[in-house]
Amino acid sequence: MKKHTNLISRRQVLMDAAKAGLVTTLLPLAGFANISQEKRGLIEAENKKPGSTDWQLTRVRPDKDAQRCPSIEGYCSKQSLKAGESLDIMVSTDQKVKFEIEIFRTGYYGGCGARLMKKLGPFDGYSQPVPKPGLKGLHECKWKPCTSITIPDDWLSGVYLGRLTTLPSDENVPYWQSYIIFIVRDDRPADVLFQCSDNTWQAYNRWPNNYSVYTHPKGVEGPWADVSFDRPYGRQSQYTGVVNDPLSFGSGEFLSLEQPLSYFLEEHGYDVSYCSNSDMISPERGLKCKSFISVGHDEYWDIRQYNSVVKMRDEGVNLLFLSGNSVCWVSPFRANSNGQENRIIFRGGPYGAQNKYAVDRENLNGPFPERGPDEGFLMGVRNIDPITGGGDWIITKPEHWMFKDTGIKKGDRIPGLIGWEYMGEPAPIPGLEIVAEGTAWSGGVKPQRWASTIYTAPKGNIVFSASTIFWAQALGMPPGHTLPWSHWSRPHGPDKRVQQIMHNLLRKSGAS
Amino acid sequence: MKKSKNKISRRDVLKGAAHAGLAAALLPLSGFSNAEQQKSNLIVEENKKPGTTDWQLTFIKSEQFRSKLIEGYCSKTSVRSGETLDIFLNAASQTDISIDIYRMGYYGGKGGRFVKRLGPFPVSPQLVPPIAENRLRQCEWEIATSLKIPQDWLSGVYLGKLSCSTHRYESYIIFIVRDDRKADLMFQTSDNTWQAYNKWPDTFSLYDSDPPQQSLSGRTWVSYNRPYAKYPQVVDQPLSQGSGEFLLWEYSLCFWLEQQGYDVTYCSNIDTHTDPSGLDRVKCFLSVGHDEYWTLQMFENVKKAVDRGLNAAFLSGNALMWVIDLKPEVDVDTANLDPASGLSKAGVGRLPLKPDASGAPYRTIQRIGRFGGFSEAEKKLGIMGPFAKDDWPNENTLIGARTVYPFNGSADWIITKPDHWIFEGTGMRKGDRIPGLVGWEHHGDPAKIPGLEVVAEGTTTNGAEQKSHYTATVYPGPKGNWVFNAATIYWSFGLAVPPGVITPNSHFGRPHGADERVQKITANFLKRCGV
Repeated sequence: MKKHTNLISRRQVLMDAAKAGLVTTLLPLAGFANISQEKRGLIEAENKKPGSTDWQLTRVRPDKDAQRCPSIEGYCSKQSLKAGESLDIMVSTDQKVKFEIEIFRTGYYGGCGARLMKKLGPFDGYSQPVPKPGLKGLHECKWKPCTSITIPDDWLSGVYLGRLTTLPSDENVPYWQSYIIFIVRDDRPADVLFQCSDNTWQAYNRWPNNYSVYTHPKGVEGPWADVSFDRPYGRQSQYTGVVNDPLSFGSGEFLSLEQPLSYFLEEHGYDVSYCSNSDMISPERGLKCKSFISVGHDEYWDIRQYNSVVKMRDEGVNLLFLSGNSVCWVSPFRANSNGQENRIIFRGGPYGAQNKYAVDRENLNGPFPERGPDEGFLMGVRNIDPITGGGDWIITKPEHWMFKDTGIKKGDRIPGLIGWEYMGEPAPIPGLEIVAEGTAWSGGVKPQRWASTIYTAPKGNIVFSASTIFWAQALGMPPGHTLPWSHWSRPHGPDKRVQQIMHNLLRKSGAS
Repeated sequence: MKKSKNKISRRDVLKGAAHAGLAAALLPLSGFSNAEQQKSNLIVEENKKPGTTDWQLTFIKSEQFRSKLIEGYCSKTSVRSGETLDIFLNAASQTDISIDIYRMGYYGGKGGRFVKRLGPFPVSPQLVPPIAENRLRQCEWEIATSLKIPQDWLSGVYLGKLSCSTHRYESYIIFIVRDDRKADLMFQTSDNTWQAYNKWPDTFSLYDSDPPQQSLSGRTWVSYNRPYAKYPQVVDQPLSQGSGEFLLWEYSLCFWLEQQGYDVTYCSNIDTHTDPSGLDRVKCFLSVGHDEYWTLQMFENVKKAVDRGLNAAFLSGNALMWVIDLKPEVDVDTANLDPASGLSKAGVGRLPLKPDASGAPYRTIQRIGRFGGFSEAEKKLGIMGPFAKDDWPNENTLIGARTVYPFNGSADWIITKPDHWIFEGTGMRKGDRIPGLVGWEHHGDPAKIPGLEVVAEGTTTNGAEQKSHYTATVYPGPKGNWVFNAATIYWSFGLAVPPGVITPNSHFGRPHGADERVQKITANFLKRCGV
């Protein structure tokens, strides 16, 4: 394996720091500023490169079940990889037709939202088989790769989309598109570690039509269904009830629930690095970063992820749960039939120790092989029943430092920001503060109390739970983004107050 | 039945106009130069005022597209300052409803400005009107409040956000404030089309008919005396609850024009019908979004204005497909009403109605023909009409192109004439594409107008297979003026994506949002119009 650029650039940073140190004796203050400048510079410099809004899908054709687009679809051999490593890309087209792959890095890029990194192809497309469902409904595709790419050293950590486009020979024949998605990760000591919630994307992925962990004939919330990462991401499964975003074909739930946060962080030049849920099996990656972010809908965690994040917190990493319904189910990773690790998950059992909601779920859908600890002692808040609904995010502790410069008063509301899942029932952690709380209505009718909390961990680091899947909706509105509407309730999009709260939290977490 | 409200407010209109005339007479010169001075800055100054994104609804309960927990409508589509607008409100149970009025524009990207809170007003449940002849549903609700438009409310599109004390659900009312000033641009809202597609209370749009189903006939009438139901197709947009199609296909243009500081004034379709000389106040007339339903009078008014030198931009698709008759409110004969069923006592029959010459004018819409008559393809379809008259003027003689079959579809907007002045400074080459900008309805079949040029064209796909052809055109008017036809409902999406707007997705295609090239093309055209 090649040494990748990030090491080189880290060396560069160190060299610069050394030089700066040298200079420091001469110009102490200015030198210090340079180091910080350099570190922030990675994301800033990346985002100065020319972007394009033409990373979006234009023409997507779902089949009769509305979950997949057999005209063109694909998947990647890994959830995430480092520069220097290689990725196989598998693509199927139901007709024999040429196609191309455009790889984009998502970010801010002057508001465009992504940058074209590379065009691959054209390739000869052909139909690859939908596997017969195995035991537990598993659909593990064994498609032939159309190409294999080695991630160049200068591809900065980020969430990468591959836009698949058919290239019909006749101009009057429409072209069709969908995405593949992968994460480029690195080992640099970043200020912010952005963890994509790809276990949850996969848990809800119904590809080819009705095969998520929610669709097993035995029941919606049991341990019966296995799902594989070796298959395309179908359409966002709750498109009729939460957000109907055609850009979700092939991209999991990244664009709907996570991209606005990435867009915001990169707009402001925060030093952010990205990883997959599967990169948190051990704590090493996280321990190099000042803060860790759980984003959007982050429901499924292998128990090792949980242990890693506990370790990170105890070692002083700040934790920001900008998510809802997080750490709800234990989802053990398994290898696929080729022996490749972390390619199959299932619902192994509830988090929540002996809490009532965990026991209830066990009684309803068990027995489960796994039982996770009380997630409230990690996040500050817990999964509760009902967990769905919509409401305003209502500030209860305006004097808290996280609200500095927001102008927020007690009782002020961020309209519709709670939804469509959240958390409540704060854990009895010494010093835990409830900064926002209120009522969400499930189905528009049934009231439920949610709470947003913050506490200080032993090393002085913070743990914040925004307690809503929609948090990122208030941070940015990337091109093509669709606001959700769920449980008769909707967030309003970017809100200066929430943006300021984010700046406050990130600065407190050591980001500059 | 309380018809009198509308009659009173019509008298107010006349009085308001008289006052305006008097004021003008008192301050002839200084007033005029001030007005000229102010004119160019009105929109710029207005948009410096603080905006908010709170104009958006948060909690919306749509049941069969209707918000029966809280809903309302206005007595007029547009109103001048000094005139009075009646507002009618309904709730499922007795409550107090407040109305937060917002003017829509740019406002530093927030998209709206809070101008006034009205109420709270006590509101009791109002009757869903019985079904009259021609399937007409005309509400006869009590006036909740009458709003005299203050002098300092600048022409614009105004949303009233309804909220109440007994539950958290919200919906909109919408009205246009128009004026009589000289301005550079006239932004015409497509409210006839909003009303044609309005299904309120559930299946009562111009596309629903009594059996046998004839979606495109003249058998159904629709009334403006109804709340706007949530838009039922193409895009699932909860913010359309009560606001017609403004926030769907029109607001993005309004947001962009006001961001750029263009001197724009607003009017309703109805103003184009009633006020031909009003068109002479502006340099360029804008047809926006989905502008399908026009009266013959509207066509003639705009056509003649173009002949007199008015520029026009059809930043719209499927424009002027149908000829409508705009009738006054109707009298429904309720003598045989069975209150339980809402039908006549005979059972299935409809209550007789007759247009009421003393009622408010321009409140009822009937489809009476196809502009240009049916094409051969449309005749073959056999699902359109029948109509008493077929020889209507062809809409392409005004627009430059016309609605062609298949009417629906999606496509990239593909440049065919990059050397045309409309593309100056865009850097576009022949064959360059604006992804997904054409949809979900378009214009093709360009007219044989001397000097007409097709600047963009291509194949649209309806569903996955069926093909049609669109042509964007520019042609010169007789006085050095110009007419541009963008040939797509989605044009405004290429200009801006304001807060809350949702990109549509139809016929497996979608536009991408703001595009510098579309902005430049639009600016080039407006500049050519002397704006």
